[in-house]
Amino acid sequence: MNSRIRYIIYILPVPLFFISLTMGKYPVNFAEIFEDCPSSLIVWYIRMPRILLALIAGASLSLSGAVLQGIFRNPLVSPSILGLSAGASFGAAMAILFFGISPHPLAFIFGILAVYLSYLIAKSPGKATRISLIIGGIVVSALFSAMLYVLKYLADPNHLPTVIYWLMGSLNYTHWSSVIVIIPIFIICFTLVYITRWRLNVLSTGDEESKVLGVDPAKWRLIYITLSTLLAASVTAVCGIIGWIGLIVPHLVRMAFGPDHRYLIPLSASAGGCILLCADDLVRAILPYELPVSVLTSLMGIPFFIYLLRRGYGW
Amino acid sequence: MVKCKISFSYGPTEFLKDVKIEVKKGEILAILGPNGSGKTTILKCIAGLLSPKGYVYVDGKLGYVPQMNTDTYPYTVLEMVVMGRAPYISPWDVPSKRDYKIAMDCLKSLGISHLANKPHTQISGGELRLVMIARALATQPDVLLLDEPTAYLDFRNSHIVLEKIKSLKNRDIEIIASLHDPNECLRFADNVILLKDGKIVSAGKTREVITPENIMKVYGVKTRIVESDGIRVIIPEWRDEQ
Repeated sequence: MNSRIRYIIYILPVPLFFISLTMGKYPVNFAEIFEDCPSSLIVWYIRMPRILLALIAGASLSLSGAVLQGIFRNPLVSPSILGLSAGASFGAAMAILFFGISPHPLAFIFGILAVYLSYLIAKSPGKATRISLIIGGIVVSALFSAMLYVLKYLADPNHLPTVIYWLMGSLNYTHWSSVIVIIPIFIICFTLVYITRWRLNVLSTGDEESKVLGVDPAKWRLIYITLSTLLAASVTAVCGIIGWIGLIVPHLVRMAFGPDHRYLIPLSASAGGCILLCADDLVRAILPYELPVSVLTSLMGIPFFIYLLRRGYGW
Repeated sequence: MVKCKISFSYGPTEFLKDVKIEVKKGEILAILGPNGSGKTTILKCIAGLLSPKGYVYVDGKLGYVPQMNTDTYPYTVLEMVVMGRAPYISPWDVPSKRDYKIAMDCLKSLGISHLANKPHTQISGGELRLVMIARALATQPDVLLLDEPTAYLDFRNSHIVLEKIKSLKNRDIEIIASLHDPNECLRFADNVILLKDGKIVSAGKTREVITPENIMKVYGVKTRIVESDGIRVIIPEWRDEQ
């Protein structure tokens, strides 16, 4: 029974992808997609990259969250815990306000830089433990948030809305160019996490236990932080800050299928993609005004989180 | 075989001083001593979790059962035990059918195979201790280190856990266990090391080490040995003025 539902979740992105192609303010039916007409242009140049990006971004964020929750042994951890979101926001704001260039590269670089800084701070007393990493993340997030305020304060008010809109992550204005960049990063990181996923079980039982079982916790933590940072940073660079997916999807999967990372990892990726795609379809095709999708994921996330808290799961 | 001589310091002051340990196949060695006497530290040094001065020589694979369990996700008992196979599983692999079978056999040998599919967070303390022992056994160790296997367990559960550990002797496993109850040592250990403040007070055959004189030296409690049907028990003697 459980395994049948698992397989359904693995293949669910495929039908969702095709259904989403037909959805939108301008309805298109399947036959038109392959014809030479305006509606096929809409599908190929506007909808398809956006739908692919929604799937990959959701999968990346959720995968990144699942990995981090595993190594930190804490279901409250999400990709932003190590300062990634704050760093990426600062990088994007700097690109828009000071250099007048596309925010993507700098957001990516500063997102990774922030995580690296957190890691250095965590490592400064000797070894990067999970508590020192979280403290490092808090410090670095605070630093980049403060610097972001400085940028906003100094900025030309005419450019400020662009920054604010970027900070609210969304999938509008997706181009094939960004999808093509993000696909290989996702495939490489997903493959590496997927083949080593059972190690996450061992790591999540504690440092001493792992060490005795021949799994070096410091080394593997560094590997997993690198992979999950690449995943989340590439998404954040392209779409802006999309919160809650990385926190909640692994949680949902764990509640439904148990904590074994052999299943948690692929299921989180698939479910994350599906959920972000559905959320984006909702804002794109169903709501009368197009909201940034991050608003919707947060609005969906908050009641769910309160529910988890009341249920007392995992704490 | 385990052979070691270790000194260890937390910070500037030397905590363990030249602690010599030797265990041979099929032997149970108990480390006895008051709280803070260095029992856990010795086990961690042997397990390679701390690096002491001196030498630690272990011939064969180690299994280690820590005293406290870290909070983690509610893995099932079988998932927990199969993690003991990690030293044999390459990083890019998941446990095979055979690994699950070995894990299941370890559960069976401790009589807890009925727990296999329960979340390990929803079983009793005694059962959990047995699960952690099963996990260490899944590594197929030559040496088993047990840190206070009976801590926090009730009368019945400590009895069950000790009996199960004793039954492992037949498998040619060397066992080093830290214990806090001299009577558990008498019932269960071949040899005992008696510790106080990181130093060995007495070491040797259990019945030679656990004497009222040694217990007085280490715990400052007056005791008396009572023997019946070849079973020896040591009991405290309370004076009224205390």
